[in-house]
Amino acid sequence: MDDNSVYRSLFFEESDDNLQQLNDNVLELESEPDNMDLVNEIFRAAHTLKGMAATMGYDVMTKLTHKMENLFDFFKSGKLKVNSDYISLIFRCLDRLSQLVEDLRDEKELSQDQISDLLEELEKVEESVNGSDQAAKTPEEEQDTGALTNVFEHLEEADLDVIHQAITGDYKAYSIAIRIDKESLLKGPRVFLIMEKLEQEGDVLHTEPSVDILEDGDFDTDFRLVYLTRDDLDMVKHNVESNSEIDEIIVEPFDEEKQQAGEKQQAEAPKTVEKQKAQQKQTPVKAAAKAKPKTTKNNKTSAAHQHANARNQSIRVDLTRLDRFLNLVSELVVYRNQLDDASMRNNADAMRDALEQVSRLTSELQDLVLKIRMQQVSVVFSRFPRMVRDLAKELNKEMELVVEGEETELDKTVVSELSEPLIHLLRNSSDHGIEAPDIREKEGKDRKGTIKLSAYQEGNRVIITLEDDGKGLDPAVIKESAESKGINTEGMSDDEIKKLIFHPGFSTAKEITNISGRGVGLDAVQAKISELGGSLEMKSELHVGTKFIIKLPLTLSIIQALMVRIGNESFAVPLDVVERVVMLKENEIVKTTNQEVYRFQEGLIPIIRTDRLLQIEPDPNKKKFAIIVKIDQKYYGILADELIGQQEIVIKKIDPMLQKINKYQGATIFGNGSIALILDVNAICNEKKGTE
Amino acid sequence: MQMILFKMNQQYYLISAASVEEVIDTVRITRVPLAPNWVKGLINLRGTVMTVIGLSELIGVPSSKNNRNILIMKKDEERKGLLIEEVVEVVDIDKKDIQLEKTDKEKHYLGVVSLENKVANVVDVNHLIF
Repeated sequence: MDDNSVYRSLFFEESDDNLQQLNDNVLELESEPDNMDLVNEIFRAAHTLKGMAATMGYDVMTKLTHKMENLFDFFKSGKLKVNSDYISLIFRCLDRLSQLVEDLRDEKELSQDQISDLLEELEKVEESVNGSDQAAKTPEEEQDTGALTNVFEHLEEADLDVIHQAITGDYKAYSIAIRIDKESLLKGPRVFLIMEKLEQEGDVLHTEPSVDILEDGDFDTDFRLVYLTRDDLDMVKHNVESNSEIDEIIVEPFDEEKQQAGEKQQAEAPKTVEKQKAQQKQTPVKAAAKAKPKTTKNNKTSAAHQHANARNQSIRVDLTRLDRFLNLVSELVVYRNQLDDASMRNNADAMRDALEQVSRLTSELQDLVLKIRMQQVSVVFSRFPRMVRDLAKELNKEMELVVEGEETELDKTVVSELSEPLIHLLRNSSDHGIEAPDIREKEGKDRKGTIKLSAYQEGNRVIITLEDDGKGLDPAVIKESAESKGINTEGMSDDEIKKLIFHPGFSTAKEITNISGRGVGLDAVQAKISELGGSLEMKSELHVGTKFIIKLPLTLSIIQALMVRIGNESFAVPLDVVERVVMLKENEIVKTTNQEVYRFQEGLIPIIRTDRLLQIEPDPNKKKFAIIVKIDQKYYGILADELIGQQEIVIKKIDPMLQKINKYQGATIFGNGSIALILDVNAICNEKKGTE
Repeated sequence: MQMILFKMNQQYYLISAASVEEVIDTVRITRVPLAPNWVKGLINLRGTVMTVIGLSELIGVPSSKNNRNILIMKKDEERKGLLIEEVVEVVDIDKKDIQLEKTDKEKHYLGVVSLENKVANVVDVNHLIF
């Protein structure tokens, strides 16, 4: 029912996109100030943004965008050279605009005060370019369409009757004439918004041209209406003026004599038909107006509710994927019908055939649904270059963010939760990691620090690494800091001391900056990552840099697995890490001084005896199989007594207490109801590597 | 308050019914290698994988051979199974009937209750398993 809310959510989505694009482009512009294509692109995005804000009647936002657009116009016409001051100003405008959009999302009213400082700055820039000739231009343009009039051309007797009745009651009748700004691109919606505003407080009785024509925007700039309301003249005027893109208005109490004088030359039109028509047109508008939550006054709860929904509801899906989905579903319908038919005829063969197809389609659909839920990490990454630039300015450091693999896909829920921990790590690297340029130079490093953010898929996980070439963690400093905070570091190795940065309430920065916060930090990052089912590792070397490695599950629930038996017990091994399975005899396992290895391809790979590892009684009569897995570019052979087969399994979470054993990713339930544990091959192999 | 009376290795125990969501017959338990000894393994409870804990191992009493029931314990949104020998009945116990109230040493014993022809230990293990 609420038409506006549809526009609103669309507006937010598109504004976010446009602002992001502007941010990206402006950042690029800073490094290529002479790229005119870029300026044009920026100009277009800014213009779209302005248009949308204006359509929604968000004046404050429109004003700021408009002024900012002027700046781009100067770049375009060459009146102004792009420099870092202007870029910073634009960035501040963009930030403010993002803030405005956020406020609107939270149903807050915008005020002029929010942008006055920026407007002033922008105006100064404008003045410096072309003095005041711009201001002189506008008024003269306005005079060319003739005077606005509020005399109606064909008002019917029935309408007059209603007006009479209304006036004798509490109501007052006004004749209103409105001239829409002739620059307005969307006259129709503008009229709709004005009408809606008016209908909240009264009734629009008659319009000229008719409502249909007005809402289609099929008129010049002027329109007139008769309005019945209890409000006084100033209030009505205010209500009309609260809409944007209005050039001029006349609001007067309805004057029948003046009206009749103006009407004399008009021929009498057929009445009743028109009247009915008018009513029909009115009703839906009124209904819509009534259903609309009056966000400014009451219905706060419903608005807040809608708002909560709007934020987390939608996902953008590649159209080809959606088309494939539709194809698969229609195929499924075909086979369902075949099944129906075959079961009616009791034809077992036909049924089997159809079932086969259905099972194929189910798995394809399942695959596709997972893919539809996937989102590129660029959704999160795209805002970071801008962030690092600002951080560099703020910290007086020189640094650059290199982003790799931003097309890597992850489940949407994971992606949307990812930005917070990553921002935190980035800030940490910028603030604590990268040194000041002079210090870097002294140490023989490039003045400009590099932070590298990369994402790639490995097996059924996505690995995100964040690496800086900064000063790295100094165990001595951490130790001192930890002790001053009352953390006991006695007998700790350097590695253990480095891990203290994940300790709640720990911060290594000598002074607290507003960038990496007050030590509410890495522990929160770690908590967030494990909440997402992932893990966080850190490698750091003094004066060389720090690297954070985040491993996240690709999808949250379904994987392909190889089912194996060890002793009498069944286990699942995620198939994506499995390179190959080989049968081997006991004498092919070679004992070295501290481990057992197996000759695979040209090298020797470590063998992991799962029965010993898990303390399972081995079955000496069974043949041995080695499941060759590849972890971190290295091969390992995992021994199993028997292969059961390959199967698609649903990962079920297990008790945190059992997760602590660090051998199982989860459990799964078979078709017959029995349970098997899923081996955490990554953890098992990493542990093996640790003991080498 | 309502309590569940159950048997384990010829001894009787009482546990508050408020912490028990349901009682099921023992189903197949899948062992979890390397888990603590009081974790009996995992069961499939209507499609959910649930950890089952052996009460006898948990509170350190001799275990019985034949365990017929699992109490499904709940705390907020978490569920865990508690393996016992057999549920006898649900009884109403007045709080003041609980004698020999717990000492600080034995946190899972709340005391004992004397019933018609037997004496039952009142246990509370929620703080141990959740």
